[in-house]
Amino acid sequence: MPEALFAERLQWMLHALAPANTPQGRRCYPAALNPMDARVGGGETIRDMFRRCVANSLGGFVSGCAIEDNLAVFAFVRWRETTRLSQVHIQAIKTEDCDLKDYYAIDGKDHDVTYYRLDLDRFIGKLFTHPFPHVHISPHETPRYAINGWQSGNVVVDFLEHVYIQSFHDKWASWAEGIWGKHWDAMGKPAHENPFQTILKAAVDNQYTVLLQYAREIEILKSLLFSKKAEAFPFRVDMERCRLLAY
Amino acid sequence: MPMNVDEQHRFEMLQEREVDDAYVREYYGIEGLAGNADLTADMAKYRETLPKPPVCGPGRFDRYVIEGFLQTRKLLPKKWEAARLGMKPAMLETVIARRLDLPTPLRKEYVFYGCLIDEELGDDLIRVLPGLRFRTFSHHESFCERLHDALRTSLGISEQDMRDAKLWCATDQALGAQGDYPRRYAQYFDCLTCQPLSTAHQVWLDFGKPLFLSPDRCSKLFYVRHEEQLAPYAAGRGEPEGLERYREALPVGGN
Repeated sequence: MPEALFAERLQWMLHALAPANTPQGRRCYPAALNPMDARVGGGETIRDMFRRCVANSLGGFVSGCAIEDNLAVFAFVRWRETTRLSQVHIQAIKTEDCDLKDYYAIDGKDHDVTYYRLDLDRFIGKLFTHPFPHVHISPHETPRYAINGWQSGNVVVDFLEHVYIQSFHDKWASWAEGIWGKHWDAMGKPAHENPFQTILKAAVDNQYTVLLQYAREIEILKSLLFSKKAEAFPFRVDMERCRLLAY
Repeated sequence: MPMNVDEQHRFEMLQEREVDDAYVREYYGIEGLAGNADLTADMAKYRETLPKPPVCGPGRFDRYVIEGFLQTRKLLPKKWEAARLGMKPAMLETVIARRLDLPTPLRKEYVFYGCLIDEELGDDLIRVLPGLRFRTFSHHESFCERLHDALRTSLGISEQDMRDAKLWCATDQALGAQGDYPRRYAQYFDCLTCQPLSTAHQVWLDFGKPLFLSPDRCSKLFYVRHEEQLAPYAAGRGEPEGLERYREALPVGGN
């Protein structure tokens, strides 16, 4: 089992999606998920799709797709050449006003959710409308966005990190602080104060010039996090295609 | 333009660790610290854990000790905790007094030494107020609006009382029509004027305080008004960002 990411259950999910040394294959999370169920059809809501996936792949056991009490993930991954991703669809649904069990169970309420979907497939569309890969924030078509971090090629973990940075920042920051802390201890600078919390605080307080003062530390932090994410999942995106379709 | 007498006094004081009783009252909102025997005794014990703390004269206090003690014990002065929730202290007192009337009653004690609040209060309120527990707030304004609405509904507080209890950023109000929309709630206090301050209008000052303590903050409007004095103390590398709009807001002649 690799070292933990931002959430332990996320680590288990990635482990389940990536069997070691298999030249090609496909996996789903939850394992019994039918990828056709994980599509929001015309006239359907996100909740309709969520209920169908939970009912058909988990027999109504909501915890089987829960990464957090209010975050569900449904994933489909296909790969070839041992580590090359050829198709990925991952949906992350974060409930804003209740937990997932209530979201599944309570009808007749206008539930508030945040929706993310990572798409990586061979569909190109009109020129430059489909960055490779891209993220949707609505279940229906446009708009599509490329997000931070594609340079690593580690799109699955980068996408999940994006969800955590946007919606569970405290958990992400605590993970990042753990990694930074080990680096800081190893540097053996007892005379200097660890600036991690100051960097977090300066960001939230809009103190750009303070961040600038810590530019070197921030670059080191990024590089440490990239390395840690790289260990977490073996599959990578086709960077040539990524670059060609980027604009 | 020179600072007024109080501001100048605070500015000079903050270049050292020691502050006077008036500053403890005006900035931290702690009344009569010297007479609070339990609090001063516990602070003294905390002080002993620090390397070479200065010995303060009568009526004077080491602000590193005050802030370090609060941080270690995860406490905040009532005035600061109220600001974190975007409200005035009187409304915070009402909420604490009526915490058993919340949809899920909060049975914990939150007030310590008569003037300090357990900083977990905000998180606990979010956990027990309907619709807030799982929400990601996009900014402090969104957090305060939703929190105040939920408290008003749950505790039967009138709209007018809740409106009167909101703590707005003094800089945003001073900017008037040039201020932000929606209006900025305060979250902190200006360390030189002691006025309520939002994250949007603040600049960090570096008076040599250790990194593990909360930074000293002042209003950008105050900063540009007294730039000559304050520029050497601006935290970070280079001039703070976005000062143009505050300079434009100064009346001609620099007042």
